Amino acid sequence: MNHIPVHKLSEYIDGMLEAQEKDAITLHISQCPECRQNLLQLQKMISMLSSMKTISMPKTFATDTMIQIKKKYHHKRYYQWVRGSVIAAAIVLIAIITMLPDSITHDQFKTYMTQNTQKTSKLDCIIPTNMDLQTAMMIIQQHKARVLDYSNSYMIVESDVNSFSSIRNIINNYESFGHTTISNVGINYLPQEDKNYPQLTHANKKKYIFRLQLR
Amino acid sequence: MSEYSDNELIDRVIAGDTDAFADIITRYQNRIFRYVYTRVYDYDEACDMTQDIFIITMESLKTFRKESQFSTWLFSIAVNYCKNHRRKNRHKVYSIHSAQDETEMQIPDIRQNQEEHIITSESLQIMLEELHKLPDDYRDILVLRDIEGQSYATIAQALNLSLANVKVRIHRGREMLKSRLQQRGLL
Ligand SMILES: [Zn+2]
Repeated sequence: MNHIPVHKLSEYIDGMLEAQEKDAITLHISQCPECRQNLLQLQKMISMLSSMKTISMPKTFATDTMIQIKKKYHHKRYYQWVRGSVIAAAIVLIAIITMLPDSITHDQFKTYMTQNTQKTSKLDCIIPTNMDLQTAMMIIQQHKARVLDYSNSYMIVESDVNSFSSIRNIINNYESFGHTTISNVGINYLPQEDKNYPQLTHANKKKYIFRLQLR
Repeated sequence: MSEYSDNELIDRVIAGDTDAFADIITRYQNRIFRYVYTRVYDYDEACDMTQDIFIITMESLKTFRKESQFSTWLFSIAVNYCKNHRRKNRHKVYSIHSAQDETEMQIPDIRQNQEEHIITSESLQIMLEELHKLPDDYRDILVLRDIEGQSYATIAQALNLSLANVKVRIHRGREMLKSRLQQRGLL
């Protein structure tokens, strides 16, 4: 028998050979110092390899890695949350904007968003103002708008587009320039009757129902 | 170490108990690390890579189908990761001329890394060197067989090889390594 190739000795070590072949190798090894040497070397090498199982990572590895994972997950979750809330806000924003006349100012818009969201289903918008009821009532009357409801703190008004726009301008100016110019004008407190209700002049006959939020 | 099975731990992680993944890491970190380390032969880099592998595993945990062993699945992630990592490194070598890459040209202080962290004997060091120099196909399989002590069948599954192929590679690989170690005077 020729010398036994190392790969065959390897199979022999792993017990992978048929009984006949195995016995033949056992016999050969007992008689051949060279092959016996090879077998011993191979066994030594394998046991050295298995001793490399002691190679290990720093003890803090799992903890460190969990920190990394949590950081990553935290970020992900955060971005998901941000994205989700931005989308939600955008939907609300679009809904509100489509309800609002074009030129409502930003501050008013913001106030609208933060203030009463109840009763808004029928409203086109809410206009906060420092006016008192008396002054507001006067302006509404001048514009032939219709007061649907009022209290000391609010007025619900219905008007056509032009009146709405004019009322809004007056209110904006009022907030900017102070209160003296129109505060002494006498007014009629009573809500106007249906017969006084103005003709809608806008092409689409759009009615505006808005709430004046008084000081 | 926890007494939960891999699949129990995975279920817990997927259910939101992220910390259960720490047990999985502890259970497999050194096995994965040794595989990576014998490939790259740089302790710190191997640590980083092993961490990446576990992060990837965590991220794709929901895609794990329990048809195979978790350990096999994890190992296949490690194998793929290392293959891609190697490609990246090759790419780096080619872009060495650009000034930006100068930092990557620094020669790693292998001696320091190894002495600090692992190597207890010179023979082990030589062993590691020669193992590292083996072709991937043979080194991977010797790591699994002779360092990790895995069965032929498990290795076949992990490396996606036929059993016959695994056998051939183990015995050829040992033969190759043996002759190299003899040349180094180790055997
Ligand atoms: Zn012989």
